[in-house]
Amino acid sequence: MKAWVLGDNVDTDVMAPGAYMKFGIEEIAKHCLESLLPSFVSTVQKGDVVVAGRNFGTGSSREQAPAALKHLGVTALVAESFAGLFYRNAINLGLPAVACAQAKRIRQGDVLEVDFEKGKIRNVTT
Amino acid sequence: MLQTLAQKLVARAAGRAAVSPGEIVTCKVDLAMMHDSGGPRRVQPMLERLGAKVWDPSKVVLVTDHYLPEHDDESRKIVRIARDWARDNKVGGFYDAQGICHVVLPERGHLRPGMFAVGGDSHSPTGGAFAAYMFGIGATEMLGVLVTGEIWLKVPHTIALEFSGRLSAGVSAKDVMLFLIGRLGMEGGQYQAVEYRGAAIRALPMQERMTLCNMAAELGAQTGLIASDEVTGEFLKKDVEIWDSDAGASLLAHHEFDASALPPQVAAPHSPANSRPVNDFSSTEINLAYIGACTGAKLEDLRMAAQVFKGRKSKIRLLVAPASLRDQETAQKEGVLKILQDAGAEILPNSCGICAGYGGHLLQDDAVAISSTARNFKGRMGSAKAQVYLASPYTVAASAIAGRIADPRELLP
Repeated sequence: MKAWVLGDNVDTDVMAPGAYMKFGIEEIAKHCLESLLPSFVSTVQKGDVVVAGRNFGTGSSREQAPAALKHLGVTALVAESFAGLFYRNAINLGLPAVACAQAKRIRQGDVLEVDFEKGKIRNVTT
Repeated sequence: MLQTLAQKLVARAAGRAAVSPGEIVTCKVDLAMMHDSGGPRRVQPMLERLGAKVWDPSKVVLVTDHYLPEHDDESRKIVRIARDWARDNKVGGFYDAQGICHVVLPERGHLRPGMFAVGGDSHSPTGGAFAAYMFGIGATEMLGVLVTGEIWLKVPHTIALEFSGRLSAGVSAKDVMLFLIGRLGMEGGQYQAVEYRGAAIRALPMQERMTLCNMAAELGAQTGLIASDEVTGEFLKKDVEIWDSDAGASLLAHHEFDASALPPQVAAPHSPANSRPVNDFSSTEINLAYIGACTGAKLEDLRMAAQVFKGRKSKIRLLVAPASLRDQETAQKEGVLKILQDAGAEILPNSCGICAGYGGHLLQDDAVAISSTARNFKGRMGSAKAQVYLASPYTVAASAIAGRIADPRELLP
């Protein structure tokens, strides 16, 4: 599970931009994070993990935000903290979201093992 | 046991005498509100898959506000699904092209103190201004509510935000919220309940209180609450129960501020947390002014803008999208709309419009806008290159007149 590392306060609108919200999830997902990480959609692999800082998913109730990540093959979210509404949405969609105080120690491309039952994240790279 | 307003509201909905922060409880939902974007087009396919029916259509309110006016095939389809669904399910309230859900809901009498309500939109805490526990949920969670009439919740702690004194002329609820978000951050609310209190809050009209609770979303709270009082009753045109926190109930935090000392606030791109006093931005030139959305284009907001615009012209493009048709009609009767039009305003439809990144007026690459809306996330209102400053309707108006960010207090009588 390769890590994609984002910063603090990454909002729902960069994951599911308003201009594409009228379409289905296939089309929305093509634009997921495009204004933040233009290479994300073309290079994300099934099984990757998105890692963020504080207040991940702030903003809208649109569950297309976690749905787009899931659609692209992301299998888990790790963040220092989550916006509550986004957190509920991610879990409701079956996209595990794990809050971890040390999320900022994870670097872009690190390989992670996330054990949801034990609540442990292992950084295989470091 | 002493309880906060949030605890009392959750306890009632959970069928309990009292609840404690941190417990997980299941609440009965008194009202479920949806709009065209997150509503029927998302939940109907899931209801079909489950072969399930709506638990109590009389408790469902549907408002079309996102994809109006329909300007392409997709928006026509989305709005048609909403209309068909409202008809087929005989919902308790269906408001088509009447304005933005958070404004229409109380305007049409669907909220009252003591209720427990959910909305399929992040600004649903707006309903908390009526001493109702109301919060935003996503479409899958709405599906659960529609089928069972229930939702689980972790009983929130309460963060009290108390404002003594009175807001100065030219300073509004929007300034209070930009100040709080700047001070406490976009996760200052910690997904708990924030409760606005104090003489300055009591002195506010209902729609200003709604602005406070509306932007509890940007403060990262699950809901924003204000105790009910005679102002609530007057707005709803009925006797209302008084719902308030017990004095001495345990709080997670208690922040106290002097409202009289608060200057107008402006939040720089690309976060509402980038707020500072207006005079820090006085050299910032702008080329577009927008008064819109549930946060910033209710009747009270239009009145504020008109106070500043009276007898003056906007130097830049000025777009005004009144938050509801009824508010627009009242603004017209009062002469408020005329003042805005005389200032050069283009009046846009009563829908979410640019604020939600929908419709035909999205911001272009070169836009440097000042907006009475709630969020200036990069790209939300159009181009990712656009710069959006957030401010009160007073400050948006003063800035439109000057062509740069300006302090409205200098223009008020």
